Amino acid sequence: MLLLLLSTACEHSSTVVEMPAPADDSCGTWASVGHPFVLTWCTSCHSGRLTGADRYGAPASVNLDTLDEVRGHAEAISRRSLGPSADMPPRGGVSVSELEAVEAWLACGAPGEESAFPRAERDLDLLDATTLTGAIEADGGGRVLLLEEGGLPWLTQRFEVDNDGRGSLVGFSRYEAGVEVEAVEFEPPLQIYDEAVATASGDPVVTRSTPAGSDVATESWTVTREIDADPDPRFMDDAPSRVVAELDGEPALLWWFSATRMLVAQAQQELDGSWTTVLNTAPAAQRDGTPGFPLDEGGSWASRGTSLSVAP
Amino acid sequence: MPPPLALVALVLIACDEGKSGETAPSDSGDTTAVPALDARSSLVRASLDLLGRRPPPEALKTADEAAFEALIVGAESDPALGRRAAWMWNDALHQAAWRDDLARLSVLEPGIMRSLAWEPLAGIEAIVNEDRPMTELFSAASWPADPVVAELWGLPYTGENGGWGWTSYADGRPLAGLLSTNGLWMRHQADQTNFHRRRANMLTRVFLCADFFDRDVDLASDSTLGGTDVEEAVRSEASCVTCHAALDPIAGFLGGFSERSEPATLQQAGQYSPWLADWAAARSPPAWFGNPGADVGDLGRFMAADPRFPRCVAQRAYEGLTGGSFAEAPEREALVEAFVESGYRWDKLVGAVARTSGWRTPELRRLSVDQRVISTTAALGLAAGASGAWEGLDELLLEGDLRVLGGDSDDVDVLGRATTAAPAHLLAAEWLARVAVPEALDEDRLRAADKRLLLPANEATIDEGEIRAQLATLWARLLSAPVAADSAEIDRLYALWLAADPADPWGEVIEALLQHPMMGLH
Repeated sequence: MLLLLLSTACEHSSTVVEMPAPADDSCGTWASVGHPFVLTWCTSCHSGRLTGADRYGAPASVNLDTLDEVRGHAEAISRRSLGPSADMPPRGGVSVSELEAVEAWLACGAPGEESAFPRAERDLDLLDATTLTGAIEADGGGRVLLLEEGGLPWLTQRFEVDNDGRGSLVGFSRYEAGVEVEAVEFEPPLQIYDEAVATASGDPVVTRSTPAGSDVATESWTVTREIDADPDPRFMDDAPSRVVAELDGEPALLWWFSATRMLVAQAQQELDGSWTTVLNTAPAAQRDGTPGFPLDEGGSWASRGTSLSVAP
Repeated sequence: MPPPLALVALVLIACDEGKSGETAPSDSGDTTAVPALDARSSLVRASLDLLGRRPPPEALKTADEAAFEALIVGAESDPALGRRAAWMWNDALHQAAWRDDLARLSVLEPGIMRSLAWEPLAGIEAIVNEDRPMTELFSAASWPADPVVAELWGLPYTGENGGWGWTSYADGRPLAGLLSTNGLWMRHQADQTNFHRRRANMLTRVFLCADFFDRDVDLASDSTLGGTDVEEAVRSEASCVTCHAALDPIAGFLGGFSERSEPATLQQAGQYSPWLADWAAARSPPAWFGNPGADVGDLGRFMAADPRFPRCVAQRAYEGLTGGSFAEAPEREALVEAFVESGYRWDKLVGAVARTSGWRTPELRRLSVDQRVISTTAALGLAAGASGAWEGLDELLLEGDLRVLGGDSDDVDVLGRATTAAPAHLLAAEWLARVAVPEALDEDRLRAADKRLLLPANEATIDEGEIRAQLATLWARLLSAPVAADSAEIDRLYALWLAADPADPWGEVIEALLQHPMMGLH
């Protein structure tokens, strides 16, 4: 019975309707072919936004972030990626269909409209504070560059470059969830950077070539907003230990506690009457391969020029 | 007596054959003549594809192109569109039936499991239903939570009646849409050896349609990996760098989220650590294909701006609705363009897909299990629960077993979907029918006689005319096809009614109808 019932299931009538014809997209565009291709296969090394080891050996002069740059290197892309002696990417991996599409796009003259890829909204992880990529316009002219302090994403230096390319550290800010919640302003600004070189992409690379002024204890600061003197309570499993320590030879409070998944310490120093977190130890210690030490035994370590010691 | 499943399967499979070749589009001329699905079948398919339910029988009486267009336009403001979108995205995200990691965290309560798993999908549903751009997947400063999720993570609950409402994590994590949700990262885990690379590849696979495992890299030539530290090799060996130069910096964004190696409790698994984020970022400076960033907020901005994202969304919509290859779709560039020009609106995209020649081919396609369960719920008149199905089917739909049996993924081990019908799918149909029909009939008996959906006004009637009329009504309602009470189809259905257990003839007939092949095809 059920079989008989089912036997009627396949009846499906058809009609013919007019459908729009597909557009001729044999060339493709920057948006449809060129940009996806270079993002997938090239810019992880060949980007003007990358420096040093992060370029994996890509020459500094060969960047493929923009349509103009790709057009400028079109011949080399064809030769290095599409030809019989192709050696880019270094061990291949590009599908035949992708190669055919980008070859056709280049053969058409790399058509399309430039489209800017966004930059990071706030500044980046700068482990040695020697380069930066983020910048905003300063109120009084020039530019304020955002540098992270010691690789701490939530503690950021604001660094102003004047029109002569000279730089001054004008303040620190602490961020939570991308929102500035605390700040320290320097008056006068600290002249600790003295060279700013424009790159091909238009953003300066600042070299920390003069350490003068980096001894913050000798500067006169104006604290414009109150600083929270408590350690960040997030993720603490137990009450923190508070010990007196020295940071770069100056008195500091060291909060050492077991966070959820790693041992963390914050060092805080009194700056003109308020306390601010100036160092976060565990990530730096692990990054440097430097082990921590038991508090009751005391010890010291240094990271990127900052030393920390704890008395037993 | 159970139905003759093998025979049923043969018929079902036969329905899916013999139609190929009718639909190959011409590539010449200003217009392309395409054999297309008739208007009634198009209406049924569009309703099932966009809204997950069959059109009401009365809507099929005026099935024409105008009604088809009206359905597509009307779907844009139908809340079922968002639920359907969530299920379609689940085919890539594999969230809904995921459970395995939760037992490790001693989470055994089904309600908690369900809410944790659905959190990322709830945001997709809300974005679609509120006509927000799909880029908010990565840029929204808030994300929906239901009471369970809100209580677990200490979030303000803003929903109503136990539903999902927009809220924000307040533990300092960068807020970047679903990239900031615990539900996503608890499902898509990392461990202490892969340093979030697995998560990074998930992002590119799901949202760029670019899986690093698909890269056909030459690994054999001069690799010295055997004698090299792996973490050194990924930065120095050319064979490794081809992928890791892109993959590792993406992973560098994700260090703040807990991973499988460490947390022992649910609360720990849901905590975000800025220190670990910093540590991971220092180890592998975060960047999105050469664009450095600081945190997940930057990652979201990069993903939203990536030209591969709208292309991938269009691909997922097209392939999800047609089962065909996006690369071979003649309208693919037009779909991407339409999606971008609409402001990344999902409703406009799926509407455009439903107007393509590839969607309107007359070949029958298999319904996904969620389509089948949810449309059956609606057709039986059962109230929709949390998953879109009747609450008695929620658990069934969100369990992997039924979904695998029905040809879909279990979101953990079986990650693909059957594109053609198979005999086992009938077992899922039988399972579904036996669970749903008794409840549906009980519900129907509570309705006023003139409001019943399944039973005749006089359930005890033995009048052949009344029974045939009701059978024709059932046929039209459940199979979306008009049929005359004196037709051959109703002759056979009436014979089945006569042969059924006299105590429950309507139940047996409806169960049989729910196992009709056209209940699983469209």
